[in-house]
Amino acid sequence: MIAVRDLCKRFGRKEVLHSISLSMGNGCYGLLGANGAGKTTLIRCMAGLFEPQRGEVLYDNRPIHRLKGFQRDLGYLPQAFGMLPELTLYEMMDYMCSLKGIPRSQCAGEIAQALEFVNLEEWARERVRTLSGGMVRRAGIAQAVLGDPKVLLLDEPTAGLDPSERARFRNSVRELKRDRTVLLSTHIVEDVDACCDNVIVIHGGRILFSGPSDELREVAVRQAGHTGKKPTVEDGYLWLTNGIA
Amino acid sequence: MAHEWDRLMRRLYLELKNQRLYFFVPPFVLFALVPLSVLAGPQGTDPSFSQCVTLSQLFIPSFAAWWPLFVLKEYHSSPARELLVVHRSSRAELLSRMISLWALYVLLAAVVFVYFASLFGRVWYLFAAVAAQSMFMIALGYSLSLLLQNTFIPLIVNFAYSSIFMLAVLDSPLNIFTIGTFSDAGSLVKPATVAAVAIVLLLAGYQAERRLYTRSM
Repeated sequence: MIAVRDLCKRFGRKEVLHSISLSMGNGCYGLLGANGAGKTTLIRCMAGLFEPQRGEVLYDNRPIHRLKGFQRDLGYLPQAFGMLPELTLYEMMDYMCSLKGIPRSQCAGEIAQALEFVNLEEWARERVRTLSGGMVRRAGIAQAVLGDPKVLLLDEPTAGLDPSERARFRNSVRELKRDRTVLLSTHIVEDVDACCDNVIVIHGGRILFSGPSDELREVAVRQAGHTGKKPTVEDGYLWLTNGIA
Repeated sequence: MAHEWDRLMRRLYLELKNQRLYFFVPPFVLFALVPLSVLAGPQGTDPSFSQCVTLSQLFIPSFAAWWPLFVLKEYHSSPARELLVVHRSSRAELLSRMISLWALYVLLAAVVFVYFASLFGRVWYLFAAVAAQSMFMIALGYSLSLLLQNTFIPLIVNFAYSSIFMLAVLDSPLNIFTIGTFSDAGSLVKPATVAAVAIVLLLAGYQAERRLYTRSM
């Protein structure tokens, strides 16, 4: 459904992404990498925020910059979220509905559903600036799912969430991934282990691994040998990145 | 088209609502500061048209960019500016806001000029001049804020420009203001030039706005 072909992104002389190629269908993909690995740059390119120097992002086999409808099919949670702080949460969501082109008649239902999804329905009449950091993060997730997008790009969605909300988020992602592509960028390996079927490991702007999470676990088993402990995505990730370092 | 217009107006309404008390500054200037200053006049004299010319040009254009710059602030310094860019409905999203806010501001100014017309008779040439100057100030704020990725400096430039050129440097060719009687169509030559410069500035800002969408994050 969404693919990246030979993508290169440079800032000045610094090349941040080196010939990245990926293909993603329905399901949840975990984008794992250390700070500065290029996760956010890749996600921004995929959202159409950055123009790559080379390569392209394809949605249904067509370049996204030529597709007017792509933005309507896209749900995006940026790394930093928090907008229109003097509006109520409901009004902010209403603003997002309007931004996403959701018809007025459907907005109330969409907003109620999205706020329920992140357990914020009781806070709908509170001003955004009075919400805690974790709540604002959840509001960010809620705005991303407005309009039932086919592609969800979530940049560090669980940063700032408490353990119970993180568990709730993982369960929600399991529901979301059934009929859409979810790309979850994070450096929290447990989140990927818990809800992603596929893992993409990025390091220094290059893809080190892209495939099913079970395959990454097997990599760990092959390298470490059978220790009796159930292998995790983290084991595979650490082996891959430590091998490079 | 109607749907797009409805979307734009809905967002504009919420952006203005987000300004809270700051929203009321331009209406206060238009409906209280300017009329009361004109009515007060110099000590012991009746309100005069020349006083109206000076005070209208000093206050009305300089506060025209207030709402637009506060709207632009969300695009420059909000943590969620990426979202505003990702889900843009057109590449002239900000330009259309600037024009809408100018129209709204001029509409409110027209109400004040209806009142001035009851006091001084023909004020509509002055009104046309103030409308052109307001457009210039919005265009200057829009293009500067996109160039500098900041709204505070354009706001300061705005007020500094009005104060310097209205109160001190009257003869400069860079001055958009006119001290005159505004009694005939000839007094609209300078405002027409100012409007043309404002359009050029809006187009320059639009070029910066298109660049903002792909390269500025």
